[in-house]
Amino acid sequence: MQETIIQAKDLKKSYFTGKTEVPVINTLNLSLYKGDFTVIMGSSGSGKSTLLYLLSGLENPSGGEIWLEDKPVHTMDEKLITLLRREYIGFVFQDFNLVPNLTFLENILIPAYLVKNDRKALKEKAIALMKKVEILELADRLPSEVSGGQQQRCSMARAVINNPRVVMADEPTGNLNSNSSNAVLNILTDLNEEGQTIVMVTHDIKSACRANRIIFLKDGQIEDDLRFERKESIDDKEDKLLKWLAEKDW
Amino acid sequence: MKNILLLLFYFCLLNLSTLLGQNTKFQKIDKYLKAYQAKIPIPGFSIAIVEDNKIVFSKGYGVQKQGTNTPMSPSNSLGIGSLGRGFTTVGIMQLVEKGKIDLDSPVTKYLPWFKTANKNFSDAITVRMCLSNTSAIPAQFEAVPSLNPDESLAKFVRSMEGYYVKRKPGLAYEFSDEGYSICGLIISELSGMTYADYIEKNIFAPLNMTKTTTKPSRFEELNVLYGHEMALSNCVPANKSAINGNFFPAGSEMKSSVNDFANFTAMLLNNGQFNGQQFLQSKSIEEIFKSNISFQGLGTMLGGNGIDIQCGLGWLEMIIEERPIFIQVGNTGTTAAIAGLSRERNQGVILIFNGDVNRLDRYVYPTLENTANNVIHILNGEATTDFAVMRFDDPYEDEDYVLPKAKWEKYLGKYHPSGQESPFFKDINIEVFVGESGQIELKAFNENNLKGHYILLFTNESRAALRNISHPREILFKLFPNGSIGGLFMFGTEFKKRDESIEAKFKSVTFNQDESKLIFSLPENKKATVGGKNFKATFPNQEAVELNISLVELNNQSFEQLINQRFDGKSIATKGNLLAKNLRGGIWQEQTVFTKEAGSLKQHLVMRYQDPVKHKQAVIELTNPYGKFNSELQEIVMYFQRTVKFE
Amino acid sequence: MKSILLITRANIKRRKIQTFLVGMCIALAAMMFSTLMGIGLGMNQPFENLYNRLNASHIWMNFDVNEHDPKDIIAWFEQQPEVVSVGTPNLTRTHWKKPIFKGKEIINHVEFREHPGNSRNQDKLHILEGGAGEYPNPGEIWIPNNWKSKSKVNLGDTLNIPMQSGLFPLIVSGIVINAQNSNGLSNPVPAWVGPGTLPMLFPIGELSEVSLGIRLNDAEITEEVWARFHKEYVFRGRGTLYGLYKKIFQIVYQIMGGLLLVFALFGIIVTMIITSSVVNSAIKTDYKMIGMLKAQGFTNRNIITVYLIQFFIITCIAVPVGLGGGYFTTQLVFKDLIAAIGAVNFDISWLVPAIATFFAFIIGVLLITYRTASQAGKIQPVTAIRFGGPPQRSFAGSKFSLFTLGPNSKLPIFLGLRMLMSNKKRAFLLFIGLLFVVFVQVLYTNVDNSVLNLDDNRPSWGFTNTDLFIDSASPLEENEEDIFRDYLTDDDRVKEVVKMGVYIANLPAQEGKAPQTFVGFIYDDELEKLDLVNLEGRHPVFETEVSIGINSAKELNKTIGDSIGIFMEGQLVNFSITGIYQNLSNLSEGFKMRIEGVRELNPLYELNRYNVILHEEEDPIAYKEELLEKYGSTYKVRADSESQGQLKDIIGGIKSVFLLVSFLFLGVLFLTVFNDTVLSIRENQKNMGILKAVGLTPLQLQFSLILKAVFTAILAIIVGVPLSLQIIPSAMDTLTSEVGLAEFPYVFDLNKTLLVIPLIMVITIGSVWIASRRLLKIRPRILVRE
Repeated sequence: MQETIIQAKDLKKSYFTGKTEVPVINTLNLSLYKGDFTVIMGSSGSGKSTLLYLLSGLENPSGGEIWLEDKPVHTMDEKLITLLRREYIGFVFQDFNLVPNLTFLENILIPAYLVKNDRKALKEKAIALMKKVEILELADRLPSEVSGGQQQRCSMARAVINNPRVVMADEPTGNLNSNSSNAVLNILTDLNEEGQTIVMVTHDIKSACRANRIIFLKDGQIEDDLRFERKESIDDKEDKLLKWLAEKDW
Repeated sequence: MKNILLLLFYFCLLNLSTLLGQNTKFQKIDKYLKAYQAKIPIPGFSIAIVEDNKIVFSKGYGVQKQGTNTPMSPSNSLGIGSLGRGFTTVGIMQLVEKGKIDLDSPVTKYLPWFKTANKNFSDAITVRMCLSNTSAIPAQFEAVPSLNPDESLAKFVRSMEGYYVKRKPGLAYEFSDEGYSICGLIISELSGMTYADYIEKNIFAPLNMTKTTTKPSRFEELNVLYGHEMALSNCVPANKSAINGNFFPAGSEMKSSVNDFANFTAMLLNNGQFNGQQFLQSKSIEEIFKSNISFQGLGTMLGGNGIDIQCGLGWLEMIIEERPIFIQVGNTGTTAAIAGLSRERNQGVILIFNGDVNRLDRYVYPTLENTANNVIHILNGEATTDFAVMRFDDPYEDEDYVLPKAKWEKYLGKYHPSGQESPFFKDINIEVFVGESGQIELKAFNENNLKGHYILLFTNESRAALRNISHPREILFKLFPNGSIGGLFMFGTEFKKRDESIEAKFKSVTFNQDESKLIFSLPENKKATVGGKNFKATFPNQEAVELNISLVELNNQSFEQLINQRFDGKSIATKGNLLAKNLRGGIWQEQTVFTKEAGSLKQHLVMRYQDPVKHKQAVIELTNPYGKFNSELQEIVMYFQRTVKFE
Repeated sequence: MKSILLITRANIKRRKIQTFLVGMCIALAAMMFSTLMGIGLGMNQPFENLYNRLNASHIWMNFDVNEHDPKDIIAWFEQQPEVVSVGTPNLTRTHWKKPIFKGKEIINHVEFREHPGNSRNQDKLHILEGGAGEYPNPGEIWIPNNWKSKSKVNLGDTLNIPMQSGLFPLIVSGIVINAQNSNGLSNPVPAWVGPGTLPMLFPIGELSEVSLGIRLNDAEITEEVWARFHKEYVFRGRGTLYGLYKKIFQIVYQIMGGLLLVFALFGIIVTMIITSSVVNSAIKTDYKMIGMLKAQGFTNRNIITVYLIQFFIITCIAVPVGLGGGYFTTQLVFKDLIAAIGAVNFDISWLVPAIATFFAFIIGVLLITYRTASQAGKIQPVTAIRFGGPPQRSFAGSKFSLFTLGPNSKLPIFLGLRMLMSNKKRAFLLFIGLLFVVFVQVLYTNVDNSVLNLDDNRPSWGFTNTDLFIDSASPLEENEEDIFRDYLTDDDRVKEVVKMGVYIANLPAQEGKAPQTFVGFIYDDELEKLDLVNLEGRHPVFETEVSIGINSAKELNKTIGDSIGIFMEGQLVNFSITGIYQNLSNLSEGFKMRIEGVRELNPLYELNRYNVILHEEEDPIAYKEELLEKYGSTYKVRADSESQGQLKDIIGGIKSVFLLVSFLFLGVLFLTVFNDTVLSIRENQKNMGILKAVGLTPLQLQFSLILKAVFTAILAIIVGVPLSLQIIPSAMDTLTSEVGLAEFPYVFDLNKTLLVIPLIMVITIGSVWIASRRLLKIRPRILVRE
């Protein structure tokens, strides 16, 4: 039995356009497990990004419950969620979202400094991470001075610096060319193999194949839930996934 | 036993020596006072000495009136001024004894309407404060003239609502006639008779003071002496002054003789007993002399010793040469009086002068305090002292400034009070002229009565000392850089130099009606008509302005009645203050009345001049539409008032 | 052009909050500017305006009809070519008993004047309230404006005039102002009754004083005409001239009007700073759009036009709103001012400040917009589209790097500093804005402190350090006074006793000038004992010496060492000038002299006032009471603390305006910081979202914004406080020299000045807090999705 790390119960989220309520997530129940590399897929407007933000605590649900392990996120105020998120979640955005006037190193260190104050150790850790994602030589560069792939690698280093329970990534390769995409996905895969729980939203089949669990979202509800064996090859996974998706009006 | 005998012997000796000494000490006093009389330019005075409850010596010195030979007598009645306060105090104490007054109750308990402009302060004024000069209402000398002086008192005390008390009552000594007026009115209110009647009945009659009164109607009968004014080297007889009924309880019109006052003194010295009767309880006597507050005594340079003077109820206690003397001093400007009491020796000395001896030049003449004190010394067989002898030198003695004759001209002329003077100088006019002395002289007049005649001893171009027999005072001429003189400051009052060419534009008019003859000045260019009892004048450039004068016999009609009668049937819109002043032995009253006629306001300035001697009165009315009264009309009325008289 | 308008409309619509905020800033600034300008103009102008509108007399004469026939004087003046009109001789009477109102004396002695009527074309009265009819009805009185504020006398109230026979009631039927005494600082002050109604109060025989006004065609020649009159006519009355009225009027207004105009200027500078920041920030946030527009063929000029139109529209809407607010504040302020100093402002045209403000803002905003928007020209479309913002500058290795800020510096401090440095221009503008605020606060604090400490610093204002003034009440016993003096000097509590007297001397007629009174203070001991000081030179010591007031020195063109002829004791005497002093109570005019100087002319001259200085720990009031008890009515004793009422009124009036300005500038501080914070948040919206996403709490973000503002504020204080302290004294000297304070007695109080720091900090922090609260509630996700 896998350990549940995030649980959503009867989760609801609506937006308002004018006075009309548009439900995005509709009574969704979901458990995410420790060590999984879960991918959330779905057609545009299916609510997959919204679900990710809800699960990460960046967004407040309109109804239902979200549990990060034993912590009821849905009951917390923004400050508590923020503090919780520091420990639980590392977030990777589609458009990187690095602070433009901070260097790579600074961008990576900011969340770390929020949690711990052993600056020397943290800096060493950041350097190690940068080495790992191969951007060490860019430490003093500003985001605007480097390529998107490099920015995204930086963003990933930032996401994991605090050893979060879960790394969440919203279309991390969406703005990248295929080379950069692969590098980013490799890093994610490596992290997962090291035991890092990962949740990723993507509509890219290749990217999705890195996962061991795929959740398909439709009209704000989970339509299907697919699991891969870890040992399956990428190609097998891709075949299986394509078939699975074919049933789903993809 | 031997001792007792010895004592008896001594006692006899002592008695004998006092007996023998009696004559010699009174002879000495007589000799001393004769010498004093020769030294001072006051025509006459009288003295009474009380010892052991009886008059032991009384005598007059000099003459009653300058230029006559009638000798001064101890039974002559003269103004005693503030000595009269003692009667008010006793009057109050009598009512205290009857339980009608509590000295420490507020005045408002007896005169509930009493208030000053700031009621919170006047509410705190007690009867005692009024008698001990700590009421914080200082002497203001405001007069409420009236042909019926008894009325004045009540009006005057009511008029204090216009006075703003500036310091907390009870805090400090401040000489106040007002406090005594208040007490006088309380006596009158509680006894139901006029103040004058009350003291006559309750004090003067029981104390056999037959020559004492504060009723002007009795002055003639008592042959009252009006004293003297001071001139260059002598005194000149004063006329009867205008009556100030509002200050009766402070002694303004109190006339008494030394013999009369000696009775009063004997009663005070004898613990309230007079002729074997308990006139006043002894605790009341103690209350009268008990100190309430003190103030700085006469300084050494003035011949005093600087010891604080204690203030009882009207009596001041001075420690003179280690002897407590209770004194009261009164002066009226034309007479003066002093009473000194030694309670421990049961002695009293009373002196009344027919000139204001207190005003005599202290650099030249012996002071009254010195004289009175020395009389007491001689009375007690002691040597005379120089107590209260001035130790300053005459500051003008070395003055060698001489005003060049070429500059004299501009100082000469008539000076008129500026309208802002203290009530004391309201009707004083000044003339500066070259006198018989060949020097510049100054005369002050109250109407036609001489109030002072001085030589001007200039110390520079703008200042001069007033020199005559009185204590020198300095006056200041208001000089402009262009060389002209605007006026002069005398006794803190500004007098402005009159332009006599203005006066020349007014011409004397005589209005005959029956046997009455009214003389006054009006502008040269007036148009006058006489029709029977009425005189009517109009003025060019002053359309719709009319001056009407009518003459009638003096009557008892009040001014209020006159107004009511005059405007009967007309609608009176509003009225001004009823203003009154003494004018040439009579009374001048005026009131502005506005009537509404045909929708517009008409102004009537109604004036009345009453002459009790000629037994005539003139009613003058200046009528104009509202808004047309101007300085020209003011001048007409001003000159009218300045010149009006019955002949 | 249509496309430009479309974009503009879209911009305004899209950024409703931003537009609103910018509008608010401009409106508030316009309000402040117009208020200050309104007050400033209002202060400077009414004297002349009022004078002309009421056809006021330039020469006001008082004389006695016993001395002069009014007809002669009227005739003389009517012949002079410069004379426009001669008034009527009106009965006048100064009453030395103050009117009683509700059991209390009102503040002034009164010069009762009969008013000849408002339809006369000279010396009309300006009616503030009531005043129906030509002149007051019998039994009524028209009172000067300042009684209303100072003694709370209102229309319909009854004033009781203490008269010989008690109190005479006069009903207040008008509250008015006359041109000459409009600020109520003279004493006695005039009050008006109907013609012929003074005899209701005073005996007609005593109403011999009249006043007569002469109106000239040019105020500047008043002295000349007056001098000629004196030359040709021997006049013995009093004359008060236009120049003196103006000077008295200016005691308050000169200082305040000048200061307020300076502050108004500050106001507009601060507004421009705000506008510049707003435009600058708009361009930053519109970066991407500008790039796109450029890519689509918009020229630089087109883009600038977009902004010009945008801000023109905002200004056109905001300024009138601000003017409306300004109008109300001005009215409100003037109400207070009138209350404080009996001032006037009924006739300042609101139009002038309104139009001036409007154009100043349109021009200012457009200029600033143009200048700032020109930067848009530099935008490279590609970079703009790609990065959505201007290229960032690296701070690596700079002192603002995360690693050089010290190992223990908190993250928000770093972020705040970084935010500050990332827009240096706006930071600088904020700094300048804050600098003005600091200046005004330091000025207010220290001027207020100087005034508060007047009692401890009296000599610098020209007053003695006297604790008790003792006047001998009776002139009879001059000789006794030496004993009294000994009594005082022998008392251990008494430190110094110096006798003093006021001497009314004259200055002889000079070229183009009539003789004038020259008031002197005579002392019988060293002036140093009373702690009197000179601006230059020393106190007079010998009988041939005088020191003179600085304004007299200026007017007579005299300096130390010169000789001055003074008409004293009936003769013209020459003195040599040893010192020049200032004296607020006498407008720094007149002279000081030792008694020997007068004794030389009059050996018997005596002084009548004792100045008693007690040792520091002694209580003057207790000593006064003791003297009163001992001496009763012999001496009039007055503690210094009981006097200076009028002076304190003037100063109180100035203080209240300062307080208002100080408040306004605290408002400016709030607004500036608020605006800056809003702009910072908007510019850094995305960063904020990211930072939130990576785990910064809203509080931490607010904290960093606060720090950013606080850094600027600290910098402004560090620079501003010393700078202000340098500038303020000389600025105050210039402003107050006309009223007799050539050297403003500036008492610098470090503690109070330092109190400005927390005040500014609290407002800065509060402003950031309020500005950032609402914006920070926005979810990071929405910011991220931008």
